[in-house]
Amino acid sequence: MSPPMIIAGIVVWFTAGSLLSWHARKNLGEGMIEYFLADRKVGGFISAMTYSATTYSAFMMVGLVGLTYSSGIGSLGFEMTYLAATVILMVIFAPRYWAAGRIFRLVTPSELLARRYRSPMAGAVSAVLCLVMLVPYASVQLMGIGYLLEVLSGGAIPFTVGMLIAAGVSFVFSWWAGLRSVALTDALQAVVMLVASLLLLGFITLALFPGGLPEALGSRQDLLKVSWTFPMFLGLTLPWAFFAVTNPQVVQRLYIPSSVKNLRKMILGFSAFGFVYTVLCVVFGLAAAVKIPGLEKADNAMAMLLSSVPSPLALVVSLSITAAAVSTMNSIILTLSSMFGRDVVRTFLPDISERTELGICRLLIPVITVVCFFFARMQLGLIAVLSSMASGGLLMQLPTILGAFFWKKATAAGAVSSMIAGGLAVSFMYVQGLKPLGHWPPVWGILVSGTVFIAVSLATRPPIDTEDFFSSLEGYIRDSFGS
Amino acid sequence: MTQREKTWVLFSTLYGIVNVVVPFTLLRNVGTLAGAFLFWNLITAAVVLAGVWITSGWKDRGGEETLR
Repeated sequence: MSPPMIIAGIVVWFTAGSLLSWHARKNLGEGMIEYFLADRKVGGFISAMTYSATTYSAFMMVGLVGLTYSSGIGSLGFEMTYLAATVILMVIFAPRYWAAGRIFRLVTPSELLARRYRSPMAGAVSAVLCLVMLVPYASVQLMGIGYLLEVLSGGAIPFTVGMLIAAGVSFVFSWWAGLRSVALTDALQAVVMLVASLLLLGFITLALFPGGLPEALGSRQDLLKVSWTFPMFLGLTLPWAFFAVTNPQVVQRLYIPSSVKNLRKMILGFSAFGFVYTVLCVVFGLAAAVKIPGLEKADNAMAMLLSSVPSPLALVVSLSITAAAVSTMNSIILTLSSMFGRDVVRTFLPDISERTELGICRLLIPVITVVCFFFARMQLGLIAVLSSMASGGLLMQLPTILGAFFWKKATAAGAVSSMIAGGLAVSFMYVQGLKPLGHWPPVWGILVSGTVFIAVSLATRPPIDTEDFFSSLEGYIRDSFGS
Repeated sequence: MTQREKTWVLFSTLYGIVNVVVPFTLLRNVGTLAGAFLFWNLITAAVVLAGVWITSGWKDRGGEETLR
């Protein structure tokens, strides 16, 4: 693919996104809830698309395709389990987060923990855990775009320039009008992701496998057998299965739909998007394994597959991968900036005005973008470790989150100690490369975190207004959801 | 938790068990699209459809939209 063609494609995509951001800016009001939650007045379609685009990163078209290429159908089980678990959790947790956001005027997921446990420290620990775990994850998105553009342009667009483009686009989309611009550009990017994947499927079916992919797979039956070991399946799936409640960039989206009807549309729209997109990515992995077997690096499978398709289609698919990475990246940046302001700065400076708080948060958007850029630029081996442990580390919030909604004896001391103990245990095992009894770090981490949470909570006293928290939440849910 | 939510949790637990046991035992060595590929597609579709059903009981009080 020629570099001018790639640049032209990026310019068209960036212009469309910028126009949407400019349009969003016109309706921007004042205050934290307006900037980070679009005043909780987002429609069902936009909610569903921003949730989908935030959830599904470049991992799908690069990592999942590569995983399917190298290890076969087990990857479908892994990703489908993630999708089903997300639907299951959203049905339980979305009404609670949505209602709590309105009752207590919450902006961030960690703020809910601070309110429930009557402990700013619980919110601050959760926010710091998210910052530590998500900066490497966001950096990997930049690295993915850097590598993709470098490979596709034959080196004409260097790695660092590709990352600069992605960081710049992410900054503009998130800074301009906060969630209003992020949600609109996410919706555009989700549509690009889906349309590009469907076009690629059409070409693969008609041109690359005229006899049909099922028939071609007859020669690669190994791909359709479950070759994964159970510990590998559990180790990979467990942290991702709880992504919907442990990753703040998606949890924060549960605050934004304008009504119960739109909250439901968000859940169902995401379910449909996720199902189709997952099947498509796995099919691409299977197609690549049949068409171009023997690649040394499985993550190159999509790039190699794209070399077999016409340039315009390859460009559209490449842009869709870039869009997937940017939509994840800008959502993370926006959420982290809100958490740093609301859950960390406000813990230590409780008397600052909302205007000052918003100013600090907005200042953090370029700061976090630059940190991610330099982090990615270092290309440390450590980044790979840190990014893979991101979902495992965030999982250590799970006992605290479950306790917040379902266990009245849960305490702030239990919450703080379990997140710290679990986070340290998982980090230590990942950095040391430990897998005791063959099980992955998240499995052991959640045991540590859960045990500490229960033991410390039972040994300490719950907040004095726990009963009020539960009764006001249950009452609001009953009134709003009719159940 | 409402009765409907308790049913949902029970359904989810059953899903969690079947989702792992069937492909890792019965379908482990089936090398066709009618094996684990079809199973994981169908069981996930079942969860999605069950989600449509369980949220169908959500009432709506309406709300102003400014971002559509």
